[in-house]
Amino acid sequence: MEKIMTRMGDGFPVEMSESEIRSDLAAGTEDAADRGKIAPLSKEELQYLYDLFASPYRFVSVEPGNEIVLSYDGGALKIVRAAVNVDRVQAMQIHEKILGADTIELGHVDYSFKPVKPIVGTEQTALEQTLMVTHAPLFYGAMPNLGLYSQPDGPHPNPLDLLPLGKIDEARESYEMSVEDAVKDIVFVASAMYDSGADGINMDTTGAAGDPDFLAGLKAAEILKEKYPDICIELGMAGEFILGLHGELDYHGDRLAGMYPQDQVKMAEKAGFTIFGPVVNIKTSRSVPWNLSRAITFTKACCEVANIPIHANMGMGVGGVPMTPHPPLDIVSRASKAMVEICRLDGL
Amino acid sequence: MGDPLGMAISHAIASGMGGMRAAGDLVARMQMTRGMKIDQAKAYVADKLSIAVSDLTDPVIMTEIRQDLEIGSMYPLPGRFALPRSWVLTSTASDG
Amino acid sequence: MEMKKWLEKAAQSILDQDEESAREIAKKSLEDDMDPVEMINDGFAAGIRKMGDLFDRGEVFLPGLIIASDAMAAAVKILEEALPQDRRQEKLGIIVIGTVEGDIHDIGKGIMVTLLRVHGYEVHDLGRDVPIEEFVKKAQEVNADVIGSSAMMTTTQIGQKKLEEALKKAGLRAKVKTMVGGAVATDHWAKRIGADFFGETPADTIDKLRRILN
Repeated sequence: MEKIMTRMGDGFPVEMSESEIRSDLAAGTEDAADRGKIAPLSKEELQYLYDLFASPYRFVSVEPGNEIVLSYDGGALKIVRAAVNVDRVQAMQIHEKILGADTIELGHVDYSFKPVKPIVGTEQTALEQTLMVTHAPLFYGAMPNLGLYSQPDGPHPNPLDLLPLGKIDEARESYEMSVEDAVKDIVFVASAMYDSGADGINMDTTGAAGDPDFLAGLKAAEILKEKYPDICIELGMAGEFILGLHGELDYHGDRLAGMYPQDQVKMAEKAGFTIFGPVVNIKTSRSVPWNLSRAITFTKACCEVANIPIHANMGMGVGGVPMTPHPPLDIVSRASKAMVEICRLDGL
Repeated sequence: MGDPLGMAISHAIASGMGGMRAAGDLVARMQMTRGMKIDQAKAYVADKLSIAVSDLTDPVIMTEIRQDLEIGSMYPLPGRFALPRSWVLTSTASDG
Repeated sequence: MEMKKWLEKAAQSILDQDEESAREIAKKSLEDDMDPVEMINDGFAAGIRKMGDLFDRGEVFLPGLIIASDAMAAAVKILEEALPQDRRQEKLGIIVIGTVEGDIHDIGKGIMVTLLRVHGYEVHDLGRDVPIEEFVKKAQEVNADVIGSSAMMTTTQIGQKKLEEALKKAGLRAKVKTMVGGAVATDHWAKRIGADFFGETPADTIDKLRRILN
């Protein structure tokens, strides 16, 4: 039987038969449906995905009319990280004029709100310079990064040291104090950047430190929205479900730990976020057909209940894109098309 | 994360609106300022520009429109470089 | 009560995170002449394995895992006291673990440490930003069975390769198994640098460890 060339979650090429691809597509959607307690993809959607993987073309695209907004996170840093000698302002111009960005994002190399706080003045200057030479809407982006608030990086005892000792109450208390500190830093930095003219604030990789991290993002958004009713705030997630590191934190009565994208977006709406960016992590040891089918199932369930625009994360290692520094265009273009067209996304 | 070539260009060509080559930045702005979903944002911008929704991703049509309206173009004309952002801010502040 | 029922009750007490119930079940199963080893392996440990799976799915949270692990430890203590010394379970394995030098990400590694302890491994957590020589020194000191290294970034991942080389140089590589983890690690990366395996999720790591150490 003829084999179809596709890839594994780590990006390496693999040849699979038609039945192997169909089987992985079915297993991927079932896994998401089972974990997220959501509907699996329909037969027609699985057929669409199979046809996409079986397509002989090196590159595929959405049909005309289905194009969506392409936003970038960490945009200022990627070109610099590739050792191309441009500064951040130039990197923004490159994204806008060379890379087809619909929105651009300025961020500090530490990419966390806390370290930006003492140097916010220089960040405001960089932002103002960028505004002078670009046209696209400009986000300022950073992570809540709650890990920076416990020892050795911050003032509070490290909950991951306390938990194994059975000091659960102390660990939870430490998380709660970290949330309060993080909220202050996020609001301070976001306010400064918005005052300097940022079109939006992107809280990226939120939830990376579990439910306290997610709560910090929600609380900060609530304050910012009250302070600046017209502010645009985007919530970019860190993983498909909220890790329960505290376990009992809630937002207006809803427990955050264990929430999947379709519930996360409702919290984001309640807090006042303008755009929500769900994340579904890749499993590198499974095929891309399995991963993409799974990621689309989670994302589709989120899109179906969302009242705000959904910009799915589809960078390295998320949203069906393989975990490799150079994701090949055959697989990125397939993931891009399928995610946009099946989920009816608003943006990436 | 991901290199700009492998990730950004692939997405931009596979599913993006083209940024300021076309009307991607304008549609994005409507999502950001009004919370519009994609179809609503596209319809709104097309209506404001008096063009069809399908024209929003057409770089040939949009280049002319952007030049005529002075809302930022890939190759700015002398003396026109700094105009677009002030136009956009005025426009979004005064519309509905 | 038949063995099957006892095993179910034991596992359930762990899933309920109920230490008092776990102790009670351990005591009463002994009074009912049940085999303590079977009660540990197929009852209480089965409960902990299930808890690990539920954590992987976002249905159980870290504090709950800790409470369940305390419940299991209390029950195992009672059951082991009823066993002759030679039938008492050895430690599952001694693990030295840390995030490689230059990398300060330790949340995922911290969760992994907790889960390894919950499953009964002796874990020596070196923390984060750990120089390669410290992994080697600690492994020698505690006679480690496994060394686990975590790296979150492509820029720090190279530390996992350096660890393999340092272990060879110290003459330790044949004596220990090595596992790699972190956001950028993959099966391919593990093979490429000569590590024994890649742990993708906590449940995957526990499963692979059990197989490799047996």
